Amino acid sequence: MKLWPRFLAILAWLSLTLVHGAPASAAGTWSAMVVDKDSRTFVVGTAADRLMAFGPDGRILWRIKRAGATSLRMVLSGDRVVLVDKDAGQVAIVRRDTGARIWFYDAGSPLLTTPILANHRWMVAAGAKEGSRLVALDEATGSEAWQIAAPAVGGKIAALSEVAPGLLEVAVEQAGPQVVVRGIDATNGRLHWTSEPFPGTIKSLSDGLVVTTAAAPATADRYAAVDSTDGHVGWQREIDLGAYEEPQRLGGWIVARKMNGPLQAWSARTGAPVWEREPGLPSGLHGVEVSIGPLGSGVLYVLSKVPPQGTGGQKSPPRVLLLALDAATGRETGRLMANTRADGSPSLVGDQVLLPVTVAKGATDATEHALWALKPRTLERAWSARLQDGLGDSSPLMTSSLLIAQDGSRIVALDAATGSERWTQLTDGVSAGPAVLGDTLVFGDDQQALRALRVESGQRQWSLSTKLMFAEKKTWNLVGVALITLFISWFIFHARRGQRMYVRRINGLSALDEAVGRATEMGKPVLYVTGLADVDDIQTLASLSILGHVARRTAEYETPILVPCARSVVMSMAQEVVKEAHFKAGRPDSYHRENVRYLTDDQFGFVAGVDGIMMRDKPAANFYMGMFFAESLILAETGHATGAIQIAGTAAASQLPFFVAACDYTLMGEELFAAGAYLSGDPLQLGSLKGQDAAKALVMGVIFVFCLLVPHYAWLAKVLTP
Amino acid sequence: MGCACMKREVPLAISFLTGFAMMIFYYVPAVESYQDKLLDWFGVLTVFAFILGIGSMLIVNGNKIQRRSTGWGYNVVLLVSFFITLAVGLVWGTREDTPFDWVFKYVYSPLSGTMFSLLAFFIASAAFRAFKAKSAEATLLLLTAFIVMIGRVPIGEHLWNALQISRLMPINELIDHWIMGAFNTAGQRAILLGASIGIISMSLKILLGIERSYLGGD
Repeated sequence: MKLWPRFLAILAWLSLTLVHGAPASAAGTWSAMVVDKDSRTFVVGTAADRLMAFGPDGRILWRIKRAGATSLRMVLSGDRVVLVDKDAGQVAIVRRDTGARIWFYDAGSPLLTTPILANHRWMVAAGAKEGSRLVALDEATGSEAWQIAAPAVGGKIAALSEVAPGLLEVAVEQAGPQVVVRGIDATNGRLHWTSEPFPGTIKSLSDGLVVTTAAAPATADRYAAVDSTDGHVGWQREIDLGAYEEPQRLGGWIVARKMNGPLQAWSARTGAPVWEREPGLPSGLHGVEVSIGPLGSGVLYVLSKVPPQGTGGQKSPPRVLLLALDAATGRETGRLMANTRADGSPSLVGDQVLLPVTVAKGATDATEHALWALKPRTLERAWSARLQDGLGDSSPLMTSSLLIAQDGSRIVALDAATGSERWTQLTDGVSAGPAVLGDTLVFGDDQQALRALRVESGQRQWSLSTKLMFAEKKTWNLVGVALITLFISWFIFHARRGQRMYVRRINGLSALDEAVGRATEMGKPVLYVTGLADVDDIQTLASLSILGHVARRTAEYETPILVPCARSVVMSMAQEVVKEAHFKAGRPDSYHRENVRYLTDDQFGFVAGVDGIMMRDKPAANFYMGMFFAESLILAETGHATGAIQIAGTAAASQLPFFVAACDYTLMGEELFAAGAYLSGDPLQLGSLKGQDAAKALVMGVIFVFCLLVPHYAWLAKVLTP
Repeated sequence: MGCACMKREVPLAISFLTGFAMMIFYYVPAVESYQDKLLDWFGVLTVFAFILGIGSMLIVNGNKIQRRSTGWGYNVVLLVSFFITLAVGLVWGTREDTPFDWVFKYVYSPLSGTMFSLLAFFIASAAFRAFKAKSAEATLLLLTAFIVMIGRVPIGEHLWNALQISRLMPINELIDHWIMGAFNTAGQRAILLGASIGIISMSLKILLGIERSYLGGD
């Protein structure tokens, strides 16, 4: 039994090295994967802030640094890759074959819309303090062809569209709120016309159709057709969002469902009503969710999800109704009704309609996920494939004969004609892609690796880690740690050479002997609480360091010391510390193992236990050293009620005020970590204290200098930003 | 000799090697996944250490029952509760709608909430003792606490406006922007900065074996 605590204590020292508040991964997120069939290249933004192009064989063609934002969008354009980082306000064009930068534009502020290419110019709308501006950049060189500055724009650019060759429509949000549309010549930036204002904020702008959303007097979507030649409004239609569920613009139609009522469609060209029909559900149903779309080959699909109706044991099963409607006439061409639950919206993949569902498994309450393939117009079921975890938010991919889908952490290939499972591969999660090129399927996983599978067989081909050898975002972190280490090492070196180090008096630590002495005189025990954190928290280690000194004093004075612990590993270590202290004080017989005990991991269970110890044993001196949370005040107040002298120490800034208010002495933040050195008087440890202070002075100086400089030299802030 | 080496040098070596390794894992993403493995090992160790903790709890409480110490009835309650909860969890599982879930919802949660609720009363008593104008700093603390407390209730805002002090500055701006946003935040950050540097220093000392008191002795 003796070996067990020692073995555990030694192995638990591993936890010394576990970074307290172990850092979360510094990874960003993958961008969408783009496939260039012409050059047989995949291009992807990795989670490690790199843009990579690689071939189907896994050979890296090029790799460049990117701004690292998650808003990166990529477009393949001829022999170039266009990179747009909306959050950073940057547009870059790189060569597709080498990744070499052709040109780069930094707007200096986030982009308000995705840039569009019009008249061989990239139209970039960027925000600024004084408003927004529109800049036209030459497609080949990136040089500024023209700019419409903030006052002339007259508001915040919310949408851009090339409505005719060389003519831009720019939706501008103004105070009100209201939206105006301006027609601008893409060649020279000259304003041709401005439309009448529409109340609300912009929702979309495309093909001359402006959609705005107004909040007053009632929430409504307004659809308006703006003539591209003169900005004249041809027609307007308002759809009250209180009476209609979310309208959808699908191709040439605007479709919406009246609340608990019929489906209605209007022409997106003329605004006139086209058709109206019931969604095909029985009346009296509650909580029905209707989703409109997709639209494919002139057929509109409308899904109604009916939750279980009724109460208690009389509940009906969930139902789903999928209608296929002719988009032009609203006539029903196909219907699917089933006692099942739809897990998502239908999608058009290849020549099939796919619907993910959850079906009952046998006669029990158990369910399983499935994917139904339906014929497009008639919605007859072609096949059903069982899935383990369902598609989630992913959309299946279609190859020549296979349907490739993400089923939880698996990638599964189904025969497109029959739905039978051809192959399946387990993955570490899919964060980018999958994308298919020829016989290669590539995806990025949660471990920041690119993996390739053979499409026909699912066989693993290659994998490529995209992790960097150095976390660039932590450069300044490393510099800071290195500098502080240098300072500490310097002073330790000087302390080793015998230089005397002055350390100011810390009242809480000077009162330590006094507190133990008081307990001895009163014939009462000393209570020492090491906090609620485990041994991987540096505050707990600092607390154990102080415990050693306190235990030695109590051993010398033959005063009992009670150490209730909230963690088993801490208990094991505390027992060793207290035992050693008693041995060193020459009082091995006064060590009682049951005085260092484990109570519970639970926060309030622990504080209830400690409060009970205080009320029963009435310790005359209480020490609270370590990491505390909400229970700190409960401990301190109960201790005060028993009349004990209390010394607390924590680096938890939120708990310090409670300890300061309720305890006699408080060690704040760094004083807790300095305690070990202060009490031991060891020159090496005192040297480290001096080094700590010197590092703190350096940090203070840097903060002060940069506070003065950064407002005048903005580039300094960018240099320091990871 | 072997025993002394086991007690001192081996733990220090383990500390240094694993600490250095963790630093590498932190700065080198390519090997970051090994950090998770070490954390898993720590979890396994904790489970074994948990057995020691339970053993300690059983021995301490068992001895008190045996000796019929003062309040030994509560020790019986603790042990009985422990074994009942353990048995219930092992037999019926810990999922929803099991007896274990019932114990959690209707026994543990109310007790935990009760202990938490004591804070409300203790804050009042601590504030009553602490907020006294004994010195200049204490008076400043008292005034600041007074402003923050009345600013958080509607009647305080009405009073502030009625006394026309809002002409100088609305109370919400004074509290959120200046007291909490500037002074309080600056103070907290100062403490955090000092504590962070202290953590680096302490970690360095532990890694290099300068600080050894956690092993039990100098």
